[in-house]
Amino acid sequence: MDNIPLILVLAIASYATNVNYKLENLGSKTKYNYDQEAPFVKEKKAFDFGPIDVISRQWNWEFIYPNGIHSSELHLPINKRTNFRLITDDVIHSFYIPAFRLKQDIIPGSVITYSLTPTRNGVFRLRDAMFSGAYFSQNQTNVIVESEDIFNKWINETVKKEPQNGLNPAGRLYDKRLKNGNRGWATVEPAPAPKVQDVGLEDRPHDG
Amino acid sequence: MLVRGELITPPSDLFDPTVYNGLYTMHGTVMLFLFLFPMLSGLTNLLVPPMIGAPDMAFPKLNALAFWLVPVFSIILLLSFFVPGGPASSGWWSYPPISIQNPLGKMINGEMLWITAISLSGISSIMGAVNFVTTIIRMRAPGMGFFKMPIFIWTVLAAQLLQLLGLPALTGGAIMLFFDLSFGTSFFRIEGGGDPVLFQHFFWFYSHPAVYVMVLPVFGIFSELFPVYARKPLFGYKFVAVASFGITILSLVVWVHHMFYTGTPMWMRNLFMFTTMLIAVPTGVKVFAWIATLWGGNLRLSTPMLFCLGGLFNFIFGGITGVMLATVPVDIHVGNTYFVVAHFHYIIFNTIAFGIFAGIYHWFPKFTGRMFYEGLGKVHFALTFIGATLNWLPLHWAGLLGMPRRVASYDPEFAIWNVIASIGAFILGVASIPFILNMVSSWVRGKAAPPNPWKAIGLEWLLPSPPPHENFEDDIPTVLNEPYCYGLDKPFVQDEQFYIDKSFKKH
Repeated sequence: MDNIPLILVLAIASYATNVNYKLENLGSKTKYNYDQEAPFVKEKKAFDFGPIDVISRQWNWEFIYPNGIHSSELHLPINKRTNFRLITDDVIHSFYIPAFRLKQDIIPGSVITYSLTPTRNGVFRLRDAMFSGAYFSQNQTNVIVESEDIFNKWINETVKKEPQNGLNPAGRLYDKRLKNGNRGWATVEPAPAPKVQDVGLEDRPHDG
Repeated sequence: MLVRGELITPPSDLFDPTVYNGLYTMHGTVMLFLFLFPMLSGLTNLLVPPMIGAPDMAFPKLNALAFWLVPVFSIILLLSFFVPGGPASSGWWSYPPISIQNPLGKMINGEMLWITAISLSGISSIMGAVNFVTTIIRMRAPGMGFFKMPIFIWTVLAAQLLQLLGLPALTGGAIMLFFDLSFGTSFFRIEGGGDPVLFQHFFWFYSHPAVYVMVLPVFGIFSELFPVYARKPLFGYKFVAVASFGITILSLVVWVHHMFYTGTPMWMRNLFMFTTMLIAVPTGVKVFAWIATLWGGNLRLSTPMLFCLGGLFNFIFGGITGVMLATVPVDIHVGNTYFVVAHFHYIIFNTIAFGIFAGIYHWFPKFTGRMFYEGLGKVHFALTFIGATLNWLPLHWAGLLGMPRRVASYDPEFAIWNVIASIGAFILGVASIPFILNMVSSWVRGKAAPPNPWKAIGLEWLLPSPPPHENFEDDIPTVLNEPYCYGLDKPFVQDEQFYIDKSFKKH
C-alpha cells in the first residue's frame, strides 16, 4: 500500500523515458567560436531532408534550405524526417511549435542539431518560447506542412525569386515607437529584416 | 493587476512591450524577495523562539543585521524604476545574454541595481539561516528532543539548511553576472568564451530549492493547524517530520528539470526526471498524513482552517501538474508556457500564500493579544479562493494550447482564458480589502484574546497573549510529549496546569 505513489511515479518516468528515446529529436550540441560561421556537424543518423538552418534573432526568424533558399516561413514536406541546425545571432531563443508539442532552446555560441517528422498537413505557429527581450511576443512565424509535390514545387519556384525584406513585425513596431517619441523603457534595436526569397504572410490563418 | 490589465486583450495596447517586460520582471522579483521571503522569515522569527521555549534567537545582532538589509535591498530594487532605461526587464531568472545586453550602456542601470538587490537579499537570508539553524539546534526547552519538536520547527530547520546549501550558488552566480554586466568579464559571455547555460545551472541549483524553502514552513503550518482544528493527533508524526528532510535532500538534485529543452543530453534529462518524480513521495507522505488527520475529525471551519483546507486542495492540484511538468515529453511541450505560470502560481500563491494567511490568522491573537473578526476573515477567504481559482485555473488551458509565458501580446485564440484570468485577478485585488480592514481594526480595538483561544497544544499557547519580551524567561517548561496529543491522555509538559494558570496572569 505504502509503495503505491513510488511505483506510480516510477512507472510514469519509465514510460516517459521510452517516449524520449522514440522521439529522439535532439541531435548534438557543438560549441563554436563566436566570430566564425556555425560548423556543419556530421550526424550519426540519416535524414530524409535537410539540414535546414534555423536562424533566430531579436526578433525575426530566417530559414535557409540546403539549395540556398532563404525564407521567412518554414516549409516542411509531410512524413519526412527533417534535420535542422538551430542557430542564434544574439540571445537565447526557443524553437517552439505548439502543434508539434516540441520545443528546443537555441543557445548562443553553440549549434544544436534537431530533427522531427511532421505528420499532418496545415499551417502552424512557430513561437519563440524563451524570453528574448522587448519584442519577444512578436517573434513568431508560420510552419507550413505540405505534400512532397507541393513542397518540391515551392522549392523550385522560390529558388528563382529575388531576395527582398522578409517578415519583421518587431522592426515595424520599433519604427512606430521611434515615430511616437521613443517612449518606453530601454531596448536594443531590432535586427534588420532578413533578405529572403519567400517573404511569407504575417497573418496567415493557422490551424494550431 | 496592471499585468493582467494588459493581458485582458490580445494586442499590447495599454503600454509599450518594454514596459510590460519590466513590470512582469519586477512583479516576480518583488513578490518573491520583497513579499514571500520576508513574510516567511518574519513569521518564522516570531514563532520559533516561543515554540521551542527560547527567550530569543541565538544571535540577536545578526538577526537585526539580516532584518535591516531587507529595507536596504527593497529600496535599491524599487529605485531601479527611476533610473534611465527603466528597471530590469529580463525576467526574474535574469538569464544572460539578455540580462547583460545593457541597451543604454550606462554603468548604473536597472539590471545592475536588480543584481545588487538580489545579492544583498541572498546575504541577508544566509545570515538568517545561520541564526535559525543554531537557535533550533541549541536552544530548545528541556525535554524537547528532536522527535518532540513541533513539525513547524522541523520544516523550518529543513528549509533553512536548504538556504545554507543552495543560496551561495545563486549569490555567487549573481556576483559573476554583475561582473559580466559591469566590468566586461566573460563568465557567461560567449564573446570571451563563456557559456550562458552555466548561469542557468547556478540559478536553478538554488532557485528550485527556493520553492521548497518557502513551501516547507507552509507544510509546517498545515501540520500545526490541522490537528488543532480537527481535534485529533497528527497522523504519522515521525514520518511527516522526517519527510521534510527527504524533501531537502531531493530538492538539491532536481534543478535540471528547468532545463529539459536547453540542449541537455538525453541521459541527464531522464535522470533528472526520475529524481524530480521521487520528490512526489515525501510530499505525498505529508499529504496523506494531513488527510488522515482530517479523516473522522471534529472539524472547526474557522478562517485559519478554511485557508489550510483551501491551500491543501490547491496543493494537491499543483502537485499533480508538477508531476506532469516533471515528465520530459510533456515538459518539452508545456515548459515555458502559461501552463507553467499556472502551475507555479498554484504552488506559490494558492498554497504558500494561503498557508501564510492561515498562519497569520491562527497566531494573530497570540501575538497581538486581540481576536480578529471571524466574519471578515471568512469573506477574505471566499474572495481569495474564488479570485485565485478564476485567475490561475484557466491559464492551464492557455498553456496547453501553446501560449508562451512572458508575452506582452498574444494570438486571439487565447483571449477567452486571459479574460477569465484577468477577472480573477481583480477579484483577488478586492479580496485584500477585508483582510487589511480586519487586521488593522481588530489589532486596534478587537476583543482581548485569552492565552489559548483555539485550545491548541504547544509551548507558545502556554504563554500570555501577547507573550512577554523573553517568553518563558528562566522558568521554561519541561516537554514530555510531542505537541499533537489531542484527545489522548498524555500531558504536553510537566506541571501543565501551573503554566496555564500563569499564562492568565497579567504581566
